[in-house]
Order: sequence, then structure tokens, then C-alpha cells
Amino acid sequence: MSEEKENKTQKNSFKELERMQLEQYKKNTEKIGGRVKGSLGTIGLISDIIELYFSRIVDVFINLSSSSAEQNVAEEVEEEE
Amino acid sequence: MSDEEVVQEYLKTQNVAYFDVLYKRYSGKIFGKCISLLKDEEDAEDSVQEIFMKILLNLSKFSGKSRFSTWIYSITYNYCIDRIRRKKKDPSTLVEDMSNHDVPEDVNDVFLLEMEIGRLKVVLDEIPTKDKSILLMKYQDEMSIKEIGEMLEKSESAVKMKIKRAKQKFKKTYEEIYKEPA
Repeated sequence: MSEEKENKTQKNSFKELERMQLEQYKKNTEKIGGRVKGSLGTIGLISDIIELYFSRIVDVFINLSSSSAEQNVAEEVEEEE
Repeated sequence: MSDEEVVQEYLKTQNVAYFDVLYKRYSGKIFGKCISLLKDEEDAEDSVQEIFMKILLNLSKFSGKSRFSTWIYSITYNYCIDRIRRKKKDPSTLVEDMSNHDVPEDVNDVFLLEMEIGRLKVVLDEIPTKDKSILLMKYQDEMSIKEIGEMLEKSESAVKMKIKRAKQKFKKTYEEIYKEPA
């Protein structure tokens, strides 16, 4: 613990190296930022589509399964008659 | 706003502006780590993009038990080590170094912390990835032994030993390159 405290008060070349890299690679991170935003937009679009159509898809499946169940019942009744 | 507050707001509102805040705060630092570990600018760029997508997709899993910075650095280190492993650039990331079981001599922190930056960079580029990552975690990210242990899933005493060995490797490499005792 005392060693950790001591490190915070003295010179830290590792931190200086980090600061130097921040300056040196500023352009790279700006460039990647555009790409990340593009991916974010795509993910947002996909989730919007899912949100919009998911409930409808579920309804379609429910309707399909219930209609096939009704058909089965009708066939059974017909057979019995 | 603290990182944790920004995360909460993003999760609540899904407003991209909050994610942008996190990107601005951390992209440079993450790029620095990627370039240090991968030693290739193009690789580092692709990695930063993928790391941020990982962060975004896992943001809801951030429990707040650790600092946000520790959480994203852990994603970064694991991603880079995995990428190197896949490319097999550095076999030392594949297996633990079992060749040296001796207790390493203690290297003074001042030796590392006050080193001229050019030399620091050269030596860091020469030592194995596992040693470099643990030194970056301790001295650059100022992670505690406990945080490093949680990240590497190792006990605190194992982490202390790993740091000692990494410092010794660093010192040995320095002496080999600069032909002067540290």
C-alpha cells in the first residue's frame, strides 16, 4: 500500500509514455471513431427493425400454430362423424 | 459525470452521445495499449474498433464492482493477448514460463518509473507480451494487485510474483540492450 502511494507522488515514465502516445495517435483514434459510429448506426438500425417486426413475427407464428390446431380439431370432428 | 454515471445513462437512454463520451475518454488509451502489445498500427486500429464493439455489446454486464477503467482495460488486454495467440506472433502468450522457478531479485520501482521514455519504449517492445502487459497494468493503469488478480484470475501472491519476474526480465533486457548495469 505504501509502495502504491509512493508511486503516485514520483515521476512515472509509463504515464508519460501514455500521454505521448495519446498525442501521437490522435488521428488514428479520430479515424476509428468514425468507423465505430458507423457500426453503432448499423446495430441501432438492426435493433429498431427487430423491435418493430419482432412482435408481428411472434403474432404470425401464434396465428399459424393456432390455425393449424383448429384445423386438426376440425379434421378429428369430421372423422368422428 | 463519472464513467459509471455515463454508462448508466447510456443504458437507460441508448443515446449514442453517452457512448461517444466514453469513446473520447478511452479510445486514445486503448489505442496506446493495442499498439504497445500488437506493434502494428493497422492491427491496432482494427482491434480498437472491435474492442469498442465488445464494450458496447457487453455494457449491460458491467456490474460496477470494479472501476469502469479496469473493466475496459481487462477487455483490451484479453483481446490483444488473444489476437497475438491466434496469430502466434509471440509463443510466450501460449504457455506459462516454467523454466524459472527461482525467487527473482527485487528491482526498485524507481528504475522503471524514472527511465527515459525512449529507452522505456525500446525495452517494453523487447520483453514478452505477458511481462509487458502486467507492467502496463501496474505502472500505467495503476491497477491494484487485487484488481490485477481478479482480472487474471490469480491469487494476490501469484500476481506479486509475476510482477517481480516481469521487472527482473525488464532489467535484464535493459542491460542487454544498453550494456550498462541498471
